[in-house]
Amino acid sequence: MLDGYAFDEHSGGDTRSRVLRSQVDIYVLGLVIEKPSHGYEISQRYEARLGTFLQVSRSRIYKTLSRLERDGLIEAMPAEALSGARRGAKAGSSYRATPDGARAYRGWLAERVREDPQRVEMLGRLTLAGVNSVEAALGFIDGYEQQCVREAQALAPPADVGSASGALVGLVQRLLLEERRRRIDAQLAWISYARAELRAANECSAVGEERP
Amino acid sequence: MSLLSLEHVTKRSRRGRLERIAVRNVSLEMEPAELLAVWGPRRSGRSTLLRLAAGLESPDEGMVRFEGRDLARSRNAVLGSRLGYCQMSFASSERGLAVEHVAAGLLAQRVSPREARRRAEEVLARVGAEDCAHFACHELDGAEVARVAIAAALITAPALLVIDEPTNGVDVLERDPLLALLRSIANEGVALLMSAGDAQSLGGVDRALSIDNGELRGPLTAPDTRVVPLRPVAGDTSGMELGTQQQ
Repeated sequence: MLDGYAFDEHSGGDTRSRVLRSQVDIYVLGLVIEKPSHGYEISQRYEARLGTFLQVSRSRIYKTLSRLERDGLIEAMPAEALSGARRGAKAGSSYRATPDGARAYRGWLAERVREDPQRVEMLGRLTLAGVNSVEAALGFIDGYEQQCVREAQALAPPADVGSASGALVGLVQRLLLEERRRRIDAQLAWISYARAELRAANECSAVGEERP
Repeated sequence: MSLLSLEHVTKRSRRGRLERIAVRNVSLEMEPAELLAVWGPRRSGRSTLLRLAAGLESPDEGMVRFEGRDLARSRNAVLGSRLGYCQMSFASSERGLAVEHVAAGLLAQRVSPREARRRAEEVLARVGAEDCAHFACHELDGAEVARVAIAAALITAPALLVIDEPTNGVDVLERDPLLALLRSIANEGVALLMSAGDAQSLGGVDRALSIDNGELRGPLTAPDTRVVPLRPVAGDTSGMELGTQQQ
């Protein structure tokens, strides 16, 4: 656990501010996870992907990288891990995420995922980037499921459910409630499907590893 | 002491040479008057979990305690009296009247037929199924079956009612009133443990858990109990007079 970046999967939303200090921290860490790079390349990718949404200077990207490195979320890659072109570049250190950094980012992704469907897509990108294991993806799915269950629990039927059948207002309220319930049902169905697929993939890879 | 506790419970199911873990090292505590729902997809282990909690099945590992006692040893004494399992369907051969079905639990306790019938009519009225009393069970629709089944389990004044998918087979417009009934029963002091196959059944419960691949997730110990259970009025074992709520 890292001070300032600790993520508690079971805590409420107020933890989020402590996870990563700013949106820029989160985005920069995500870019490093997606593809280990040096500062200049990260700033270019940031500008191309996020520049119109949240503009920051290149110097701030470098400061952010330094802070993430100081906090143990990213680390400079050893020279032998770099390709020839990168090793020769005069662009400073290349960074990659540490296990703590990947964990903190996963934690941020898993929080409030229901409010931001793009985070589910980020899970896909993250996994494709080879950073996460199937277990990590399953952990993310578990968190998603708990959010769905909690929201469903909060959707109590109106107290006058038996008597409001004739009132248009009551009817509309019930229809809106039903729309939210069915959306959650669809999300829960996806979660079950995703778990089954991930477990099957895990079993296949385990069998493959056992083969000589 | 919790009303119900499952301690590291594992249950395996076998089909031929194949073995599957239906419930995997589950620990869970439940307090009196709590309404707890377990959501899970089909074959997640939710029904097995409920049968274990009701004492209908024994765990392969771990222990289930009801009111502090090992349920495997005490099941014959408590099942059908202090602990009710609600079967949400009737056998197609069930030709008797609904009121007779509801009274059966008391007849098994050697209550007189006249008194059993009187109390059956009382409990049917409590669950909003008084109009069903003199219909044959096979004539009832899904919501009526559910209410009669709940009445049959309630008549022995259980402290805990276990219900597998109470809204299964119930028309969509009838589900919320049925869930409101379950909420009111918990408010009167009866703990309810139910399984849920949809988001609707989770609405307004005190605690919602999920189960998948036999693993239970969510808050496994009860939060502060919202309603304090109340004792039946002295001399009345019908369980229908459970007193007033306490905050």
